[in-house]
Order: sequence, then C-alpha cells, then structure tokens
Amino acid sequence: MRTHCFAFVCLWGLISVGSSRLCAQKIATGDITDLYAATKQLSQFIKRFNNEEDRQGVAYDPKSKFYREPEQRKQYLKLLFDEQSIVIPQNLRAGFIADITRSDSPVFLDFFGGDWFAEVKVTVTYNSKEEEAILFMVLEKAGQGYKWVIDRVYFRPYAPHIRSVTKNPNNFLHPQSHELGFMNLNRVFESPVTAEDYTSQSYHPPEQLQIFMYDLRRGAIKFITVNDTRFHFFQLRGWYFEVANFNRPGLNSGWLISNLVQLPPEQKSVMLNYIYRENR
Amino acid sequence: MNQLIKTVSILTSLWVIALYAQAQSVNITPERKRAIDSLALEKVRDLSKYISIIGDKATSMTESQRVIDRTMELFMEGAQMGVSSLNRKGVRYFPVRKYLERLRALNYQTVNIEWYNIQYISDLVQQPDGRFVGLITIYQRFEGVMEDGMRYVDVTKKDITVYVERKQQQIGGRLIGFWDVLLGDIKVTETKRS
Repeated sequence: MRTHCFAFVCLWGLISVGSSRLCAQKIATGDITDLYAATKQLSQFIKRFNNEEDRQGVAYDPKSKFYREPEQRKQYLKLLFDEQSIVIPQNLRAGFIADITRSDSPVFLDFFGGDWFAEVKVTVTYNSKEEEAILFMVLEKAGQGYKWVIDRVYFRPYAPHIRSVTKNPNNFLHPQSHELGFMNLNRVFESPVTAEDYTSQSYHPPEQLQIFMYDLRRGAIKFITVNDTRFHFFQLRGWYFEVANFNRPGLNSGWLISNLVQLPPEQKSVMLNYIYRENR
Repeated sequence: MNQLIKTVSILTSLWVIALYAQAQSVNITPERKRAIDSLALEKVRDLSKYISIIGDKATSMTESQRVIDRTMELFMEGAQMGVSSLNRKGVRYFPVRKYLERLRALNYQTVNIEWYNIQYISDLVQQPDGRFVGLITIYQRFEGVMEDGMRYVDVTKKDITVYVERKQQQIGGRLIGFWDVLLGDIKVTETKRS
C-alpha cells in the first residue's frame, strides 16, 4: 500500500513538472500517468535501479547529491517488481532491497559489467515447419565499442539428438578392425544413438549454435520474426533476477523484475543450465 | 630538397594520425550529451511532425510525397520499422518509406495523429565502428474515422534508434568538428492502456 502511495505521489510530481515539449506536433491530452510510470527502456530500468535519474527521467550528474541516494533508491526499487507476480514473496523482495542498499557496501547494476544476458525468442521455419528458437545474447567488447552477439541457442528440434552423457566404454571398434577393412563400421552407424561412443576422446557433442548456423547456411532454417525478449542478471553477488517487459494498463508496466532468487555462487551453474534448457 | 620533402611528408602523416586519433577518442561529457540529446530530439520532433502531415487526409498527394522524401533524409540508409500489435505475435518489418506510404494510404475518412508530451532518452553507447548509438522513446495517439463513422484508436510506443557521429568539415581552410545525428530502426509497439 505504501509503495502504491509513493508511486502515486511520484507520478503526480512527474506530471506537474512535465518535460520538454514536442512543440511542433499536435499534443495529445489526457492522463499520461501510466506512460510516465512505465519503465520504458532497459536503460531506464538500470537507471531507476541505481537511482541515477530524476522523476522526469533526466539523468543526475554523478556529482549531484541525489545521484544513487539510498533512501530514494529504496523507493524506486520497490516499484521495479512485477506486482502481479506470485513467484516473488514480499520477504524475499524486502531482503533483496535491504541487501543491495546496505549503507556500508551498496551494489549497483553496470550495463558494461558483464554477468547478464538477453534471452530472445524468435520464430523460424525449420524444414518448412514453424518452430521457436531461443537465442542467448551477450554484450561483447569489439573495436571502439560494444556489440550484442549470439552466445548460445536452444532449438527444441535438436534437443533429443544432442547427447551430453558419458560414452559407453563397452562400445568400441577393436584394434584389429583395420585388418577387416573396417567392415564392422556398420555396427557404429546402425545405431545413431550410440554412434558417438565410437568417437575420439577429444570429441565433444556440437553446441546447438553450431548446428543452427549450419542449418541456416544450408537453407533449412529461415527467420520469421522476434517474439519476446527478457534479461537475466547474475551481476549482484548472491542473487539472480529476471527482467521482462509487461505491456499492460496501470502504473506497473514496462521492464520489471519478473523473477528473483537468492543464489549462492556455487548454484549459479544450476540456474544457468535451467535458463539454457540444458538436458531438457 | 629530398630531405625537406621527407620531413614535410612525415609531419603531414603525424598530423593526419593525430586528427584520426582525436576523432576516435571522442569523449561525451554530460554537457555534450545534453547538446546531442537536443539535436536528436529535434530530429525526432521533425519525424513526428512529418508523420502527422503524411497521415493527415487533408494533405495532397504531391505534398505528402515531398514530406516522405524529407522524412527519408532523417534516416540512415536501410533503416526499418518493426511493428508489433496486440492481436498478433511477433514483429512485422517494413522499410521506412514503405511504412510511410502505407500510413498515407490508410483507408480512413479522417486521421488524427497526436504525440504525448513525454519522451525518454537513453545513454549513448559506442559501437565497434566508433559511432555512438542511443534510443529515444516517444508515444503516439492515432485516431482514424471510417466513412460510416467507426472509430479506430491506438496508442503506440515508438523506440527510435539514434546514431551520433563526430564529423569534420573544412570551412575556410579550417577543420570544424560537428556532431551528425541520424535516425535508424524504429520499433513500434501498440500499448495496452486502460
């Protein structure tokens, strides 16, 4: 309730102060409280998270006393959660805010700080059938700046065919096979499921991304459209959270925290495997 | 004489390298960022104004064609619009000119396009080729009335890519630096409002 009151007061403040005018056009009238309240870009999510901008969305000068001011920041943070989510208990949310705003060692999000990535769902056709592919994108330093690159892909049609289990030591071609002109190779290829047992120690199953790119090159995959983007943050030690976009009426919309987990560092790989849909 | 030519050529090379290095290591201070933001906003305002004119049924064909050409001058070559609506999954892609022509051809008796007095400007981030890229978010209200009086209203969020590049031009024998701003891809999202 207190959070909603604060939001209301903030947002009235926003409207009464306003921002620079789009004076050359016809200006729409009516209530725009929701548009002010929406976290419109991921950049704005990060700035609100860190309390690096004022209520009009104008960045504070880093020398300003308001820049990253902790009390205001706590209020902003409360507004950055998906209020309709049932997966984030209030006590977990409160613990998270208290932890990251500790007066002796507050922590902040850093766009260039790594340990976060995007998950993008796209629709493609695969052998003329519509399928969903999930691309995992990371920000990579390159040349004079940065670029987003495809780091991984999860493509359901591949999943059943990529084994990550250990090889069966009982499956091998005996050391005299050469004398038979390798006639026993038929046993390898009769059972595609176990064919990898016959590969060298240095063999590793291909990443889905490699196969995806190969299929793209040979024309088996054709891009149709982008459907959904969300972001996974591991940047704050001991925590994982997901940020998704909520296009809906009201004051709780735009980029918001849709999932939050207290995550000891040793469990990070478990969470990553879950997000990457490993072994599914 | 040869020695002189060699010295001049080395000095010229050093001067060019220094200029190049200066251009590459451009630092955007908060003050400069504010100046670039206003320049970018000016382009976005022009775009908003042009969209309103193109969509207006009172605008003649010749005039709207002229405005479409003017609008295209605001954009980088190859820029596209990605449109997502509430009743359809995914993004539909249009080259900017095609999008504007579709807007002009909409089958309404009257069209009214207004802009909400709100915008959000991101930071500028440098991309591999040295240019800076940012994003400006604005909101548009569209109202179309059919011949039979049926009204269609939507509010769309427009996320507009802005490219910023430091350029130099020789004026009166002196190299003058300036910031060039061009618009890039635009994502148009229909919003759900109460």
